Amino acid sequence: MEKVNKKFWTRGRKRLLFYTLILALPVIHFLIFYVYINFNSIIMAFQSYKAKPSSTGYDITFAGFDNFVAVFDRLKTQPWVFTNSLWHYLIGLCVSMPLSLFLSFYLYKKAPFAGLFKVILFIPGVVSGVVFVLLYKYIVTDVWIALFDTKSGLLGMGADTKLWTTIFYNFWVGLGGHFLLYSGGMSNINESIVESAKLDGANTFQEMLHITLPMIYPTIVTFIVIEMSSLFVNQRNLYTFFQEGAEELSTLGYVLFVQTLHGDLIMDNPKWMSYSELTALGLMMTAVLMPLTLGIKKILEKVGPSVD
Amino acid sequence: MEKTVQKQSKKKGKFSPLFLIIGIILALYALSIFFILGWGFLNTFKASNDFSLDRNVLGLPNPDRSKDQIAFGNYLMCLEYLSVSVGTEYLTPYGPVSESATVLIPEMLLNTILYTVVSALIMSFVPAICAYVCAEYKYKFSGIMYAVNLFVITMPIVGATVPTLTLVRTIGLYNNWIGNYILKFTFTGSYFFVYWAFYKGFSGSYSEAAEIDGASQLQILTRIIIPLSAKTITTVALLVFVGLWNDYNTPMLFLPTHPTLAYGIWRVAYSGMIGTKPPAGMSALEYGIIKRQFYGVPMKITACMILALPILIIFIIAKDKLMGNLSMGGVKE
Repeated sequence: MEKVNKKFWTRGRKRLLFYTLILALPVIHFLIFYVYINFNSIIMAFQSYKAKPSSTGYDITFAGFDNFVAVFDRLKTQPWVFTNSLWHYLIGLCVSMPLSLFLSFYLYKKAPFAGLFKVILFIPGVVSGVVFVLLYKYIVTDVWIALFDTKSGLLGMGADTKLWTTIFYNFWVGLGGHFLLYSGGMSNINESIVESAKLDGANTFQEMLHITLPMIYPTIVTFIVIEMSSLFVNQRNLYTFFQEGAEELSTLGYVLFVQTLHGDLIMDNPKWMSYSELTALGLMMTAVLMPLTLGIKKILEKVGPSVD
Repeated sequence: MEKTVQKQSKKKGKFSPLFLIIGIILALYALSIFFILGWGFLNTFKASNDFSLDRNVLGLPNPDRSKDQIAFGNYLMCLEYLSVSVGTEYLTPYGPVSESATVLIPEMLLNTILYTVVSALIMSFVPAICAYVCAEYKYKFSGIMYAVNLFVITMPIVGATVPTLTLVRTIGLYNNWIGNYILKFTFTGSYFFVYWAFYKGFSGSYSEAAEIDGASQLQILTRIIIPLSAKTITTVALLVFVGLWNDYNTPMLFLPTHPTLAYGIWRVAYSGMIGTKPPAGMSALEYGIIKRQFYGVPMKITACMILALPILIIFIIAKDKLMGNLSMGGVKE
């Protein structure tokens, strides 16, 4: 019997058994919490939940496109969620990202006080947004009023001032956020390429423009794609700032988060969306984001600089 | 000649006008970070009247007004009395469910440890072990796992939170620690690729030699592979720990009556939701007087500093690990 066992359990079979057992739980987890969840998300968007007359549980009925229409009607009354989302994204892309690249380059070249600046750039990523937002709020209100003798601080003024105050906050805390990503890419650049450029007379700016940026272009594309995919999801710390009161400062990500927090399967309060409506909103956002993200990725990969 | 060229190029880098401008920007940024944290810390030593009534927002604490606070009075009061009332109501197929709790700081701290430490261990080990078997065992399924992970992190699928909430509420995984740990048991994410590239670079001779010596696959994993990749796993665990320590959205959604420090302090600092029940042995009147102090700005900032200081200390101790470059090519020292 033992001989048969030994013949059966060859090295290959032992490895296969181990492989299967190790991956079983993570794969089952993935099938339930990714595949089933996303499949259920599509189904829920076409369902409607009604309380049972006996008051325990609920009945599920097919709702057609009713949830999508309800979401569309709701968002029609809040057009600013789209423009605000776009503003936050564009500032991140056109201001924050280029500046982060310059800062990462400074640290990569180990310029004066690079070690100290590296630590400081990390701090907003280490300390909770709860802390920084609260401190920032008091500085742009109480300290602002004390310094400039005004009646209200920046968050007490018009919608535009409030919007740019929150955009500036996200820009300010986000500056160091991607430097790990960029500096990792920069440190992989072959030093001999840099040396030969210097021997050819390239100055620092030329080195950055013609060597560093092209060499880390895949990393930059990764950042742009990741940011694009969070365009409608990132609530931009608005809930930390305003809880449920962001109103005309809302972004789509904020709306999604707040509504998820207060929504439920059956929602009688017209202020909050039902879960069916929320999944319909999620599907609509996915339908827009997915081709956009893939398209941007393809375009950037085609038009980017060549390492050669 | 090479040394002279290197010295010249180093010199060029240091005095570049580009670096001067970037250096000034970085210096201003550093000053702003120091100012905001320093201002916050300074105001934790003020009484509410000192800050609000006397409009002493920028100066040092007034010793006449803030005598107790200068002696860390706000911190002691927070640690002893700060509590938060939390609750949740939701529908399940079996009927409506309502839960609530009033939680003090020590319990919030325990919740934080349960949330951050255990979740960080799960979220660093599970992708590591999966990445190892995918990199080491060259079955077709390993390629499928890699491709699936790539799809998951690049495809923006929005709105999975709602069906997840519905599922966990239905199967009893909502608002409890087991449910939270099960949700974290995922192999997908960018760290899978970090580990995968790391294990791809491993020499096969380690496991081959161990197999010749009679070690089982499990022994190879636990006694050779994991110890050899301890640095990478520790770095990932630290990064995940920091993120979880500061995360208040996920506990708010999935563990509403088990507030962590981040969630609890957010509720106190922003929503003013101080706990409604007085501690044992204290009258409602006495508690009401103490509660009023928590509505003041210095006390709210103190609560936030209680959240920030431990993670800042951990950062100072482990900054080399946290700031080391964790790239697809492995850990760089």
